[in-house]
Amino acid sequence: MTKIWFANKLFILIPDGSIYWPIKKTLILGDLHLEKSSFLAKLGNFLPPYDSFETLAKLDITLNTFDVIKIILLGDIFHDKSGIKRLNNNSYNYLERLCNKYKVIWIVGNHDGQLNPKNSRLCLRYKMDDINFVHKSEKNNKNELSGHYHPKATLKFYKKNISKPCFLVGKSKIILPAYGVFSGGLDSKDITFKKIFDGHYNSYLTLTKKIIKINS
Amino acid sequence: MRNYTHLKLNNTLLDKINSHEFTSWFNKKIKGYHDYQILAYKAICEKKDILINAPTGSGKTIAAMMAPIINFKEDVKTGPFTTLYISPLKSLIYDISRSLNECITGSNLKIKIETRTGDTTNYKKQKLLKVPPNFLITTPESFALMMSYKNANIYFSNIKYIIIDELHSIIHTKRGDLLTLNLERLSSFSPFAVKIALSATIKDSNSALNYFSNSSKRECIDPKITKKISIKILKSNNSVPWSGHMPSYAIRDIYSYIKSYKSTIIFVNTRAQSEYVFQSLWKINKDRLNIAIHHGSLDSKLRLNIEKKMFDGLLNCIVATSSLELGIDWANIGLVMQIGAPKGVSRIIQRVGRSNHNIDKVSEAVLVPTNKFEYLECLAAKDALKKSIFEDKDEKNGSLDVLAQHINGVACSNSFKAFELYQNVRNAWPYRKLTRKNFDRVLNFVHNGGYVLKNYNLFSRLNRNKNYYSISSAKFITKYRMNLGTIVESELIPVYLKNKKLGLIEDYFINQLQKKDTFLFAGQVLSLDKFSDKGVVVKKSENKSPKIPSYVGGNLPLSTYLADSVIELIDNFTKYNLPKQISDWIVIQKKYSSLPPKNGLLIETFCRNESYYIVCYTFLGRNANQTLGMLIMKRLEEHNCQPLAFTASDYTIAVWSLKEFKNIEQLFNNKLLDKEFNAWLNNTSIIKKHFKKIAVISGLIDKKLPGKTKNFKQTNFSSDIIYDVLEKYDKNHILIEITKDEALRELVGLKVLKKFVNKIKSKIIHNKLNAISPFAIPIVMEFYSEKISKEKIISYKEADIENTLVREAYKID
Repeated sequence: MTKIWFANKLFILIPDGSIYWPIKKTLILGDLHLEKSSFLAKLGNFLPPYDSFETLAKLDITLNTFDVIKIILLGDIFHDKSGIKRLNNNSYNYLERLCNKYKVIWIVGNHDGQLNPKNSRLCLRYKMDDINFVHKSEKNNKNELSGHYHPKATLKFYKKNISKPCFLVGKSKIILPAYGVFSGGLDSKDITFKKIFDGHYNSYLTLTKKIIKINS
Repeated sequence: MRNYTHLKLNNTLLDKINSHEFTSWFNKKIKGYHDYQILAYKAICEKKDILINAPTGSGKTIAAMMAPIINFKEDVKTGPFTTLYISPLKSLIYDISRSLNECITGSNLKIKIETRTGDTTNYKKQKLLKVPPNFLITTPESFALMMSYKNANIYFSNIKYIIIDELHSIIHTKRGDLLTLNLERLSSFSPFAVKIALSATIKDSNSALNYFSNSSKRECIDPKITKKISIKILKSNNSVPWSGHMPSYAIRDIYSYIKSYKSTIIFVNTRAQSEYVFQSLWKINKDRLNIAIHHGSLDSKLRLNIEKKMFDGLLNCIVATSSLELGIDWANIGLVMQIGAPKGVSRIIQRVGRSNHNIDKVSEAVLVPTNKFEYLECLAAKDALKKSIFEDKDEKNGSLDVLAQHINGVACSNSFKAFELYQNVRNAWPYRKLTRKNFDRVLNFVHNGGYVLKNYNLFSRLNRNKNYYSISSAKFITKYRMNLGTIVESELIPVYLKNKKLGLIEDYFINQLQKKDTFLFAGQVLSLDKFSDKGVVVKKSENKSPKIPSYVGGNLPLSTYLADSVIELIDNFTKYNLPKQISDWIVIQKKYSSLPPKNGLLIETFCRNESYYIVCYTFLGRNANQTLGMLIMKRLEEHNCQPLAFTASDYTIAVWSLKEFKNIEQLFNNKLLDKEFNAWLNNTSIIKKHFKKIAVISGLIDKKLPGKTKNFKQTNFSSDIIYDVLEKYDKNHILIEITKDEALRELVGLKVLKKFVNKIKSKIIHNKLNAISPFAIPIVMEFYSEKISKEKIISYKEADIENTLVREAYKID
């Protein structure tokens, strides 16, 4: 876990790819891409059908570790429009329980399509204090947390390259890694990020149990 | 004209041969057939499957093609397509088609010969399907693809002869698995086809026959021809380097060889070496010799162009990787040079066979070792060649990932009954022991993933109608064809100079470059300009010291025979006429430490710069040494010795730690292999690396097709995660099982290790030294060159390190 100061507030980066905002007891995460495996299975790649399980199990551990009241989901919760229909009963029930137990803010991403989760607030943008939450970073938006791009960073360790999802933290924007286990990524040095941040940003690489800051 | 009466053939057969136009043409060109060619013809006419086991250049192609050519008039009565010629290498295919066409036009025959490879245009592929040729020359992969067509059973029904060229290069490999499966299926629709396999340098011809044929009528034709070979090790005034894999010290000597021969092929082991040698030769090319480069990742147009130039005698020299290795009939090649150790005897025979391809001429070759141990390896290979020693590949059971691919292919072509397909698969030699249970598991995987959680029933790839399976949608056929093949390379990215495609480069290499970084590719120094949707765009660079792709030597393991010979050679070094620098090296090693014993193990320990070194001279090959190195690290960790790192070469492992490990004799015992090995294996990246290949071959994930992805920088999620999730939720899945089995057999060399540990048990020599020994210098230097950035070490550090180490070892003060 790594503490950072952003917009004069304390946030905690968690190695599983989510951010905890202690003073608000809020957990922020995005790009779960649930049911990506069954989406790919339609195309003929029979990936292990356990990705939604694994992603939600990961979330469950984090929710039990921190004192959480509110969850902000930064979009692309499902990999495709009909993803929610393919979710198996256990996982579906788990999601429903989640919406009953916590205050869930459900930001719609470009993959989600039509959703109507019970007991949760559906929106395109969300604001809490002076922090803006969106799916995809917007120009001129200050103090913004977003997802969408699935940043990944590479660390050289001995002779090996270790490539893992990472947080990108700039002065007025944070981009979260994809929370879903089966998600690809865009290299943290890609020109896209240089344009979004318009200046300096740091990468925080997520390893199994810790976070490593890579200075750029 | 030669007389064949001593062969006691019946007259009809002889008359048939002698009266044919091809024979008249052939007699004019060459004195006549070899006896064995006639015998092969006879056996084929008697419907026997045959194996022709003879060195390169002895006329095997003619031996195999006599029957298809001479019997053509009768064969063609039942259908036009009579002969299928399968060869594992693309460059070989064009060559065979060239020389066969020469025969056909020379003898005024009307036989249409066509080629089909991955490079063939779609238009031509379609045309071949509509109008089949008489003879088709193709690769195992293209053959598999054609077998997946809807009417493959009709298309191939008139095949009379199947020629399998260069059998030794695919036997007991995954490519071989795929080929035997398709051959067996082909046998079920053209049961009268005769199989003719051509092979060089196979010791056990009986098991080679079994591999492709289960006919009761068969024969091995061994002409007992030996090729005369003259082989030298390069003599240079500069000394052979301590470590590394680049022949910088010998470039001028190599150049003067090229100058004195009409044409030369320089074989290298890796693409990095090819780029380096090519570049270095051009730097000193004052005589403007025509020197070209040839490797698998060059664009196919460039490659073909180079091959044609070489064929036309326009080049003085070509620097090539194994992409050029097999059976090309370039009679004009005067000399073959091999850079770096040959790694195996059969390999070097193939390579040397290139020069003066004609069987009656002497093949000349020069070996260029790039470090001191390689010098010994070259010498051992030279000896083995003199004694005509061959090494065969280890047998392996058919891989199940390849079977998955095959089942998918069969489903594309026609509907099948599981039981019938199982029977057919079992006829293929590598799959003769396949159980019905495992067949069904693979079938279920192809059907809908075969997971415990039945999530994918709706998306099944196969339709099941009673007992019949068939493909459920045309999109899966396209997918199958795009992913076909058993060679999984690292992801390749196209390289463009302006708008010209130069070739493909591995993504791991490109990913470590930044804008304006320079590298060698296609024989030019290039600088990275930008990434675009289609690939990387580069510019020509004036910079003369580019970043060179790092050496990847791991995939060429040292053969056991050569390893043993090197130890033998060190043991008897006084009997050889070694250059002084090499004999000094061995003498001083003997004086201050010991020479590695034949049936034991030499371990040296010493302390340098506050680290404790353990150096083991195992001669096990890089793969097994890498594993052993990991295990030793683990053991040192357990004893709180704080190990820092290890390096493994083909010959040696060096491990260093902050604290001394005192029980050296206890380093190798069986516990090391059982408890620690299993713990390590479950937690290793090696297994995941292997999983990726299996996932691609079996069709779980797609092969990356260069230029296909919209934005190639957006990498796909890694197969490591898939493996982890699968292991966690579905531990008994067939893919997990395949991965573990194969990792154990191929990568880790467990068998080799177990045998080794038993062999050395009581014969460990432990020398506790005050300083590094001469034999340890190469491995310790290797470590430094990996740790310190390449540029720095080239500029100054290398000389420093080398001097210090050598002074220590040779006790110069």
